[in-house]
Amino acid sequence: MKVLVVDDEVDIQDLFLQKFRKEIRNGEIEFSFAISGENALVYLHEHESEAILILSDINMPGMSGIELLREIVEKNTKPKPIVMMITAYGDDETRNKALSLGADDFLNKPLDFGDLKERLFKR
Amino acid sequence: MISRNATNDSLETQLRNATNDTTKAKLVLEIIDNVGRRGGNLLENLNNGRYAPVYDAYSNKLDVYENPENQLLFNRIDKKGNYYDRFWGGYNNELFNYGMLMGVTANTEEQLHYFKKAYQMAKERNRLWQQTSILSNMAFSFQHNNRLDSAQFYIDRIFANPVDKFGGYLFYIFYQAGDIRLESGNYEQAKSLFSKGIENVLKNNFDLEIGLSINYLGLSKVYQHLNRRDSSYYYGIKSLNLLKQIREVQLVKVDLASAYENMYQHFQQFSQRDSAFKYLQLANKERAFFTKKTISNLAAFQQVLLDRQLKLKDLQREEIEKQGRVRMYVLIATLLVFLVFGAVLLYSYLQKRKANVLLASQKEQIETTLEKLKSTQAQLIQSEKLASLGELTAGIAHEIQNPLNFVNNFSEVSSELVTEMNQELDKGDITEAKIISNDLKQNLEKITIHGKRASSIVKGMLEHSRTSTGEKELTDINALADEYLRLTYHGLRAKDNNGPTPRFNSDFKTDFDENLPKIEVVSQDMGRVLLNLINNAFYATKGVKNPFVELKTACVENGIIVSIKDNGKGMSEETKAKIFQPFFTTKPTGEGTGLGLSLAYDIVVKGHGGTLEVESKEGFGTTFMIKLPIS
Repeated sequence: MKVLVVDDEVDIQDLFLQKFRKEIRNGEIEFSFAISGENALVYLHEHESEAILILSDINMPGMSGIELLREIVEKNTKPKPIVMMITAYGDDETRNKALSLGADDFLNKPLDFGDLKERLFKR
Repeated sequence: MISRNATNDSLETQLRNATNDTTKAKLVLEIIDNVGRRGGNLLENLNNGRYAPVYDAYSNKLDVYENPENQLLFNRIDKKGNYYDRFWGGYNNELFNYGMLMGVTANTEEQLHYFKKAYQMAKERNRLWQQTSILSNMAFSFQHNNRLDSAQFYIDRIFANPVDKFGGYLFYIFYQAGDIRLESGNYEQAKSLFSKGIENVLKNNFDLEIGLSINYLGLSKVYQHLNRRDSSYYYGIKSLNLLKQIREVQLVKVDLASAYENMYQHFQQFSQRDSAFKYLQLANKERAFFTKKTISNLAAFQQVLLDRQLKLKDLQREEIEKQGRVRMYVLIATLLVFLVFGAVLLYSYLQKRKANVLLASQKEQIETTLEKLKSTQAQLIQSEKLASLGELTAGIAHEIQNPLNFVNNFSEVSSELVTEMNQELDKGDITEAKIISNDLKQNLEKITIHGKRASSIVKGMLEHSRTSTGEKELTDINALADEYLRLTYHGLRAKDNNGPTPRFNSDFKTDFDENLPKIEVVSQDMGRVLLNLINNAFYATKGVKNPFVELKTACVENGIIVSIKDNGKGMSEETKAKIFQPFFTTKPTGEGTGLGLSLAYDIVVKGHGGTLEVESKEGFGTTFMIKLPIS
């Protein structure tokens, strides 16, 4: 499983790598990282047609997670990437907005990695 | 006036009530005539030595002439009119007449005084006859004081004028001139002058007896000196006969006694002693009569004079009393004025004191109010800080949450790594254990970093609420703007999570100039400005479609610009004009202190020498621009 984590907090990358240490070693999951929406779009363009799961933060400088989602949906790439939004604001409005724009799931910060693993491997 | 009668009183009443100058002038002249009439035939009385009524009439007339009001009146009226000449001519005559009276009553000094006055006036008014009369009488006066040269001087002055114009009374002048020549021993000249006098009388047929009697007398005397017996007798008898009729000519002091004396001299001269003795007796008798009469007349005159002096004294006393009364009234009036003035001053002083007391009380109240206001203002400013702190709290919480999440997550994962590392060690896989150990070390560093990050956020929060030290330091405005943008944004998001609708869902964008130089600012104060402006920008976008806030920095000449742009509701011109006023707010009660922009303005303009400008259009959003100088 190829997962693209989009977050402006670079330390999140180490967390993912350490939390999924075993899964990565076993080749069950592969992580890529982007530090902004724009950065993520470049990556997606380069890895078109690869099945990718995107984990994106919403609040980022420059292009926000919502804008990134809108871009991805509008591009309508095949196969369609799975987009899971992460935010510190777990309000219904943001959740509904994300989901209505085409997000597949919605997670709150602080991330519960156990829960995340479950959701990822369900897919 | 000293003596009055019913007619005069009536005329004076009419005069007081008259409003027209012509009427007044007419009445004054009537009063003068009336006064004059009361003295009878003045010339006749004077010639007969009845001085008292003459004096009364003359002095009363002079009183009217010399009344200042009357003089003003006759100076005011038409100078070509009859009344003008009657008044001033009459006055001139009266001065002369009074002088005459003084002469015949032996008041020589007064006589000269009035004559000089009358002469001056006559000269000014070109009254030749008047001048001649005065000169003649002055000559007469000097002659009878044995000053023949002076007498001759005045007579010569008369003859320097065209004497033919003098008319009927010229015989007096000729007599007088002849008499002076006679006394000087110039008999031929004297003869000629007396003859001219006779000629003049006969020519004019005026006052024949007087004119002939005196000039005949003069000729008789001349002929005595020329030793011409018949002629002396002839003219002496003619003069005597005439003087028997008229008895005396006061103006030249010739009387019947003079004629008898002349005859006595004549007979004495020509050695006819019996006749001489006879005329001496007659002369003495006549002289005694005249002396008696003169004494009687002078006594009457003295009485009148005394009466008048007494009346004058009464008048003076009355005048003094009147002046005293006037002074007293003036004094009383002055005192009253001072009293009123004093009362006004006292009243004014009391009012002022009252006002001062009131003012002092009001001042105290104002000072108390001012103190309260200052205290309230300080509280409000503190409230504003606290309010902005409140706005920050949620953002800060979010900002702290992130590093705390890392701290928690890295702790948690580190714990897992320790377990894993132990497992590897148990397996004897030292290499893997070392890899895990390195990760652990990194994690611990990250925990430290994120712990410090959280700590610095808390520190910033404390700094925000603390009073500014005012010390400027080189600051990265981009970083400061970004920090406060995030704090504000997250703060609003977090706060809105629990708040009522509409929910905060504004988006934001930053466009920072990477070449922006660091500038010296009081970062704490500038942070407060940014917080306030960003917060307002987000607030303004509430309820608009696609709410959006853009924060931009740029370099300009000698400075930098930070602009905060929103696509919110915008402001009306009226609101825009007031936004920098303290306590002005458009937010609902309790949501804003109204001090945010006012403080922001003070910090930027007064604290940093910059400018804070606003562009706004209702319905199209607002842009605030902070311009700060580089140095």
